[in-house]
Amino acid sequence: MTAAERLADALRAEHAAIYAYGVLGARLDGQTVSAAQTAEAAHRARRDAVMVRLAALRAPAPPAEPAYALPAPVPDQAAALRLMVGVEERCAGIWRQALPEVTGDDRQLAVDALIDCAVRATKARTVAGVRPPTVPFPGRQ
Amino acid sequence: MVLTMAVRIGEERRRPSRRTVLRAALGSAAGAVSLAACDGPRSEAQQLPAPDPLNPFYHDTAALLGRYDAAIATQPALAERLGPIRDAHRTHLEALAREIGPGLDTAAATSPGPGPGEPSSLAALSAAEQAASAAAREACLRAPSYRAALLGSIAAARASHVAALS
Repeated sequence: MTAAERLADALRAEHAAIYAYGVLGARLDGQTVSAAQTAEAAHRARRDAVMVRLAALRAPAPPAEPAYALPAPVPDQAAALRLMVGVEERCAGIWRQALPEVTGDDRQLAVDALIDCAVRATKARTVAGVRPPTVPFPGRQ
Repeated sequence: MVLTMAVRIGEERRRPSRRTVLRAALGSAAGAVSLAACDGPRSEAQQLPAPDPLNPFYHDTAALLGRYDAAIATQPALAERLGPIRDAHRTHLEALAREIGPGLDTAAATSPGPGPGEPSSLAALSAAEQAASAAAREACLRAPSYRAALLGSIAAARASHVAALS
């Protein structure tokens, strides 16, 4: 898989993450919702960075889907936090897979995205009461 | 063409010594006879592998693990919180040892851990994790492609430890 294809995969994951935050944000209480808003803004910034990069590579940028199938219903805050952890783990996995395929600024983009996903997943696990809140190799499937 | 491919694959996986490259060049330029002529037992014995660039990173990881061992030994109340992080560093150390393979510099691995005066408060450990995450990120950016995912995950794990310690 080429670097552009890996970046396109990452873009699809960022689109899906932004959609998921739109759903789960509605189920969070006032204290938690600000963390989710910060996370969503970070995913939007990463999405924009990937789109700029793909344009520079003259590679196709997959658009966002109108809707995404969620792994489970999101009726309450506990489910919303589970979805948040899952979204961050999935994005971490996609970015980790990109790392061997990209170099230079793209490697930096990918590793920073992986780091940010791991930190957000840990924060979400902490709020959800998941112990331990960390995993040894973020992004490794 | 085949020879060029072989050397390039060698660069990717092992970074060949200058002698390996020279032998490959001699082989292509002068044929198998001259290659055989400089391939005696003496030149084989001199062909030591270059030190693996991950060795310092491995030893820094061992030192970080040592800080957690010391912190848990002196503050057992923190064991439940620090234990999983300590275990992650041990898992990283084992993965790095496997990655480095025979090039692992075990002589330096016996260096003592942090002294008894090394601060082991949560704030001190958090600062150490922050620095260690930055070091792993730099190592990931410099690494050959086949090591990028491992080092990237270690950078991410260390950053997540900062979040878990706060």
